[in-house]
Amino acid sequence: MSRLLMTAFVLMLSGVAGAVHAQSDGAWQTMTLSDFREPSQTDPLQTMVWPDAIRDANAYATRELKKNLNGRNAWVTALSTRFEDKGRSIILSTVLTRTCESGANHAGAGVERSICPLRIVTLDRGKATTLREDRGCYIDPPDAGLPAQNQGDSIQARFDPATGQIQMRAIIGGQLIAECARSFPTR
Amino acid sequence: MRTILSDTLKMSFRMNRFIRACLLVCTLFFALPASAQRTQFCERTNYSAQEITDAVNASVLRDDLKSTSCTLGGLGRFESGGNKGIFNGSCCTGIFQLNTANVRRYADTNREGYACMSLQEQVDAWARLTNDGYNTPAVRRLMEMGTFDGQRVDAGFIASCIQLGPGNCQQMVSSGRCSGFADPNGTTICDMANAARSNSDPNCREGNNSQVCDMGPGDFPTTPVAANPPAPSANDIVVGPGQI
Repeated sequence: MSRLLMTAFVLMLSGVAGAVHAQSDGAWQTMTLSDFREPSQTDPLQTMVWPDAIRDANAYATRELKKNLNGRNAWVTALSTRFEDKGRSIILSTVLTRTCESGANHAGAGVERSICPLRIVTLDRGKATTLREDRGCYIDPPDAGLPAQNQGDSIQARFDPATGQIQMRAIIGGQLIAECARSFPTR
Repeated sequence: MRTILSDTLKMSFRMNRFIRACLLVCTLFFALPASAQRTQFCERTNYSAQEITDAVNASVLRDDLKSTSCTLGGLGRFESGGNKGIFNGSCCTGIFQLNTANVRRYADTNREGYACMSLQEQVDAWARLTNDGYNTPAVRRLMEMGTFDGQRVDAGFIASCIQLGPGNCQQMVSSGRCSGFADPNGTTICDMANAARSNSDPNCREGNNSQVCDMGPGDFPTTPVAANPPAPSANDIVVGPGQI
């Protein structure tokens, strides 16, 4: 019973959690970065969208990397955005894990996308449902150490309220990356 | 009158060319800061191919790739010149130039933290990445093929495929040609495999102090297991010739 109450409380809080922003005006929005190293019982990304990815990364860090996590999580990061649609919230997220296919490891290489696990999860009256599991692009938001041409790099998404379609795209070095252009129905 | 007009037009044309040339130089000049700036984190090192090979042999790398660990020492020299603290300014850090995503996934740290790790810790992270990459469709297909675009698919080739990214490697495999994938500088996976071989120490010692081993995936060991039977043990079940 107390677990049920806790879950309901978490779902209520998820409506105001800052990690996932609600945007539904049809414009392209940059997906925001979440760092899961600090465990959270209120972040829907940690509790409902990627709990298994965090568990796997923690197991790998302790078993293979011989790390003592001291109650924290391994370094898992995710990109996400949230849309509101007819009384429900839709979370779109990609997560950087060992199952991602990342780019080159090479002195002559530049910034490249990773292709990672993607989930679309709906929150409707406190109930979380995974609408879709797929693969989608991931890049870290640019930092000051990267070249000027990469300072505008981003993964973006938009939601069409008329059709319920989510579109994703990636801009790296000022170029649209063709393989990152995806479209997902949500109805 | 016609001559004056013609001279004026010629002068105007020359001016346009001069202005365009100036514009090109200015564009290149102002574009320079946009290019990647290499950064040195922690100490600058100059590990030899043999030292990198020794670290590879002490790592968790699959045994069949360790069989050409001298080539992998050459790969480390090719990527970083033996400098484990170098960040290329855009993606990649350390002795094998791991990209930032892989640094986080396989070393649980950021590029500064990774650059300051020991040689062995860096090689261990790279070995984990390479072991995982070994099971990708591109690598499996290359191993089935045995040769690719006239090049023998040996462990150095496989490591280069993983090094440039399994997705990029798949692009090369699908094209059937070495030129099917090249990075922005024109480096192909075949180029990288050749560079790894040529950068290895000619007097390289593998883990057992032997000369460079030329065995790769799909090869059979030259000393079959049956030729080196283990010593008898008290737990052995002895079967007589007539009982087989």
